[in-house]
Amino acid sequence: MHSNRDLTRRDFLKLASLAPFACLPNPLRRFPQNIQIGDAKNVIVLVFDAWSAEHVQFYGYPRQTMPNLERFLERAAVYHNHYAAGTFTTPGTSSLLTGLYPWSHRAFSLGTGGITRERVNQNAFAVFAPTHSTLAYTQNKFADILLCQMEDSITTHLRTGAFNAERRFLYNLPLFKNDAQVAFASLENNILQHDLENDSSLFINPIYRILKMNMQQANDRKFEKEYPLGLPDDTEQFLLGDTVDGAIATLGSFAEPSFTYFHFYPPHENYCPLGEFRGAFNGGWQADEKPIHCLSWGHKSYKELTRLNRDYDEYIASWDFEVSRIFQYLQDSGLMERSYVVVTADHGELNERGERGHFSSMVFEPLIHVPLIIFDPSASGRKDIHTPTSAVDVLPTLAYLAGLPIPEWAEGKLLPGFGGEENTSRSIYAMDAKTNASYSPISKGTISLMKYPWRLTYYKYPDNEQFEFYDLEHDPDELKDLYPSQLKEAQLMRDELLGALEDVNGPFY
Amino acid sequence: MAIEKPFSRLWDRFPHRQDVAYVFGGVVFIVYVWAVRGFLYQFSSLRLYHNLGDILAVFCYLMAFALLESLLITGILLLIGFLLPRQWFKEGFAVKGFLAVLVSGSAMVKLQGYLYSQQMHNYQMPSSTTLYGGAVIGFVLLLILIFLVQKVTVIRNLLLAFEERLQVFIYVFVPLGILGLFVIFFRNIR
Repeated sequence: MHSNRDLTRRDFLKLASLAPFACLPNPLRRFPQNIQIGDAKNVIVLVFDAWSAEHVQFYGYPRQTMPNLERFLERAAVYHNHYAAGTFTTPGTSSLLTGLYPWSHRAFSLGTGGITRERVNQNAFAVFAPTHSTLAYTQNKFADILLCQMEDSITTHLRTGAFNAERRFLYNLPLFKNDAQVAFASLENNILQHDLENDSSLFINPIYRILKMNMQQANDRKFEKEYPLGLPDDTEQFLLGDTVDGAIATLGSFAEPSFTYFHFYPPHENYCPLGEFRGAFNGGWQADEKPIHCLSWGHKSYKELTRLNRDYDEYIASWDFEVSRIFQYLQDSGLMERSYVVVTADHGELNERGERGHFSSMVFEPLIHVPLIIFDPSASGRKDIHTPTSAVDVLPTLAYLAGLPIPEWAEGKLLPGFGGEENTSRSIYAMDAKTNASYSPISKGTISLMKYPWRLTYYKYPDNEQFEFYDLEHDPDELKDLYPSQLKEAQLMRDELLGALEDVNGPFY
Repeated sequence: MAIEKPFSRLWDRFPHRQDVAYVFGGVVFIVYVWAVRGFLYQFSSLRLYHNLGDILAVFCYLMAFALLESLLITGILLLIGFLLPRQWFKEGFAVKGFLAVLVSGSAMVKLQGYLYSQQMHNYQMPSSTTLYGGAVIGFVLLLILIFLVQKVTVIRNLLLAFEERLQVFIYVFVPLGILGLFVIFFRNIR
């Protein structure tokens, strides 16, 4: 006899058809309401990922990649020789946010490593939190890990997917709020790796990846006209316009005075220019060929690198077209009049010498020479500053401008034009040590010391230990290694570099 | 006439508890060994930027996820047994379920390598022909193996003996998975 309460196979299948509706979350974003505007100015930091100054026309690049941004520079301080402290997101962003060199904050390894525990509260958000509301957003998952570390001082931390076309990450779910770094190292970087091999999940991962690729290819097809090379993505796909719209909506509703940090993924690889910019730089100028460096990992051909550089430039132009709406909004809304707006990059991009992108052990100009623009509400005209400066200078300068104490820990100096000295021969470091353990002495890596016009680069690897020495004034493309011929100047800088390295390595022996 | 308990007929559609335990032991062994292999592969890079406490926490996440994955896979096999006519899958579930796990596990290893090579070279989705072709080959292989095991008693007995021995891993790995869940819970309730 069948009981009325028996569940038949057919009933079960009917019920199962309702399961997909459980996958339709509609998370509501909540922004703080406007509060009374006080005397304190807002500080808005806009970071464009992998944005090299060597590809921007107002720094001397032959292609007009950013005409829209240039229109807004009438009252800005434009730094022509500004340098990132690291060559990829983790060290570059950490230095920008802490005012510390990578060998001090120790976030220089490739992967999920963050700032060392002893330094984790030494950051820009902690500096501004007592007087400003703080808001942080990044599309870059590795930068987001750093923001998770700093979350104690962040009033509003928007998730990576806040303005994206999709949300995929698990580590930044509220469930893992207190353990985002380890959750990322476990879930995203091990169990469900998105683009790598050796995932720890045998069954779920491949199925998940196929579904993801399928969905992303469907999105690519859907937006084929707007994005002929596919949609931009850092695991989560996004549209440039949506990202800018999201940022504008956030800027329109934050609590003032605010310290706001927006770290946008463009123009990071994969280069996904808008359709109208596709082919914009075909023909005409192209970069000269440079010899493949002995430490090149990619060994890409000149032809391929030329194509990559063209795609990169088209993508920068596309981003310029969209992001200029933020500057227009800041101007039209009056926010520009009550805010210091900083525009910079975490690191640059290097499509030369056989290398592609920024996964490299080289430290040449395109990889560390990044834009720095500061919009000063009290400025009456444009200032062009040619003194070499570093990413570690940004935090002390912003604190100074906001009338806050300059953090004692910061290793940077005040930027010239905002209280700092014009010291052309100061020492500026940049480094790459992605394969060196964070909690060990630096024994594998590349360290660059610049004392304008000289750059000494120290390649310190077990199978390749060498120095290179360049005159940036007469050889800005860094093609003539002067190390053997200019030994006197090189030796002075070598002693300084080795001394600094010994100092920072000391506590780890 | 005896009064049937609600859902009793439904319950009958599931395999015997001992058969389920045999299959679960096999799933746990395969899923956890793969997870530990992935952890060991990444261990040297984790050492670059995490301290020992964090590395152990990563291990706990892996164990907890492997437990959930094992339960999910076993659950799917039970669901298949529930939905299909009982002589197709429910009868001889210990052997058929384990063979299904072996074949699908091997297919997933192959698929992971294939997806990686595809993504590395052109970021292209594998073609439908490749995916469906692979699935069909796996399915046919499973049918052949099931047929073989049903016909050759020695192989079936060997397989059951092997499954019986694998059950020891339930007592090793499942507590680790539960411990992992506790660690995740306590790390996130602060």
